[in-house]
Amino acid sequence: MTLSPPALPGTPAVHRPDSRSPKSGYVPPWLPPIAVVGGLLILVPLVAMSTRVDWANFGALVTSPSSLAALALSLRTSLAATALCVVLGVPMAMVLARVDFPLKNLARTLVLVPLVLPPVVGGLALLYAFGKRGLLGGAMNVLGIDIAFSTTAVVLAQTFVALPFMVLTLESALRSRGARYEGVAATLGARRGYTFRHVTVPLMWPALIAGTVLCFARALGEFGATLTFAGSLEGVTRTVPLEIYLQREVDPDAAVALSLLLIAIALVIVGLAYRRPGSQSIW
Amino acid sequence: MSTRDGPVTNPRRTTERSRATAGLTASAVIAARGLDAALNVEPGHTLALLGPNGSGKSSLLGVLAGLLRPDAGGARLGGVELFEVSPAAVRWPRPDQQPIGLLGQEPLLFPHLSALDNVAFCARATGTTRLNAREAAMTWLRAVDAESLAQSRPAALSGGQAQRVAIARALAAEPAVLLLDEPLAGLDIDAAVTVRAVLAKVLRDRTAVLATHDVVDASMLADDIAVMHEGRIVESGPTREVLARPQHPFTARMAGRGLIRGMRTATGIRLADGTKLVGISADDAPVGSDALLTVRPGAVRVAPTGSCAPPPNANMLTATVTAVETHAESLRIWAGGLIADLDLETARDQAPARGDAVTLHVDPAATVVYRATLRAE
Repeated sequence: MTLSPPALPGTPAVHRPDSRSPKSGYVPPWLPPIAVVGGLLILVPLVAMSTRVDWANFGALVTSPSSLAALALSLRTSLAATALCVVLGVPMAMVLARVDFPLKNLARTLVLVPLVLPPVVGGLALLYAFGKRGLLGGAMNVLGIDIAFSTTAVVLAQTFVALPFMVLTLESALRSRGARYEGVAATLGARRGYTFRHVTVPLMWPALIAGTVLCFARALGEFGATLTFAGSLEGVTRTVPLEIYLQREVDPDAAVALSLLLIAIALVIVGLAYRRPGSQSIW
Repeated sequence: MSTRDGPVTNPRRTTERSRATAGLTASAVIAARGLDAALNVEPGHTLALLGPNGSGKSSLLGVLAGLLRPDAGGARLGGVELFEVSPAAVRWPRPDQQPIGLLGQEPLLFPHLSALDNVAFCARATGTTRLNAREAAMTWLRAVDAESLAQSRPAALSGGQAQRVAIARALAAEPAVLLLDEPLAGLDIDAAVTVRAVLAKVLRDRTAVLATHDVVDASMLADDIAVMHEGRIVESGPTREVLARPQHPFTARMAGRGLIRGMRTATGIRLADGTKLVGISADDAPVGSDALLTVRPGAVRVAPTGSCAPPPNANMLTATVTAVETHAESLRIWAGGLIADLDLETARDQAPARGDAVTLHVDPAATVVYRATLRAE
């Protein structure tokens, strides 16, 4: 058994991109300068912030008890919210992409609402749903559950704002590929569950990774909904963005140091999500 | 070695294997797609659904594969019901419960699995251990001469290689009926030759339905032909017979043969305009009955302009050119139901255009006259 396929007569080489298509530089001349301006809009504030960092005390600032508490809380809640986004978002994307049901377009629009809603409004909405006097608050009081102003509320707020990223990413991946591979699996005798695990999930894996990273980033940066729905209790609901906002008045150096840390994390996340390996992905 | 000798059998498929040489009868109606067709495949035969793109072949195969639910229809395999959709009853099992295999124009190999694991997919999905599934898969790869590709990722395979692996994958499921939807259409000419040879081998004694627009594939791979036109089967029968003596003008067009309808005479046929043509009688239909005349393009000549003396004994008729197209190294013209090929030399001197009247000389020795069994449209 040889590892590399022998070249059979008459079998063409693997398809290569059309060499006639212009690869680089074929854009209107006025376009790159505008792109540079846009880039500067993002870059300058980041540079400005790094010039304000008190490098001498950077370590002490980000390891102060309040900073560490905020960091630990942010990490915990963001991971939990990301896990929730995977658990809820995969079925949502599958249903939107593969199941026909009435009012589907309305459903898709609703899923995207948290994306365009000001997070503060999202927080208020969550409060009126799960708060003490909210729509479900009474029922949950009976069960002895009190969500508002707890760490659970932080996770809920983060999930609320991050979920659309997962659904959007997965659904577009699922729809662009179609269900043809699943059809093949079915004619090969694979049940729906087996097909989902062994065909659908592996094929949407890159989109799942990208969606997961985006969800984590959105959860980590969540501020408005968290503040409204969960408040700002140290160690319980005060995540890094809330800590930064608070310290901005009290101890600007600490705020800047934590901000820089968030920027660093964001860069790593974006790098991970959009990394293109040297060889093209097989998908 | 017969390719039908399946290697390790998985338990789910044993009953289906015993039905492996059962015949298939099916019908399907899908109003939205204009599909209304019924077919019958003899046990162990390959039936070609011959028709152009959009004639409903793929829809019909989709129904048979269980992927497309018809408005009405049913299918039986050797007397056992596969599905039934009628006002009285709807029994529509999921496709994974049907003993039907499907091979499409695109190989659609699972990109995350090696060629070997693609072929082993069915066995794995139905509970065979990885080791046994791979061992069996290797045997199927060997059957399509793709053993050396076992460890390759689909992205590294050429179109022909991938299609051979896809054939092995479809066979590994040991389907009682194999459906092939334009399996050669996506391949370049050289790869198509290789894959066609593999298919000819695996389709022997296998109940299969082959959808194709290519009369070459139909004639080389199929025992019987059903010609599809706008969602309906316009005629069907043994391949040789259908292609040599077409009944429907559309079949003649697909087969590349001239076809004229008329009335039987003692020596041949009389056309509506009174023209009499002489030909060889293929049956003993009575004089005066509806008859068809067919002749291959090679036996039809366009008379040079100006000359009117036909070669001795030749049939002669005048007709209007209805279409002109290039065909291999010649110009093919369609006139009065007949086809004539002009070599490029002649075409340069006298290129008839659509609407021109031409005089055609037809060789009586190559002209066949036979009974018309379909009503004129």
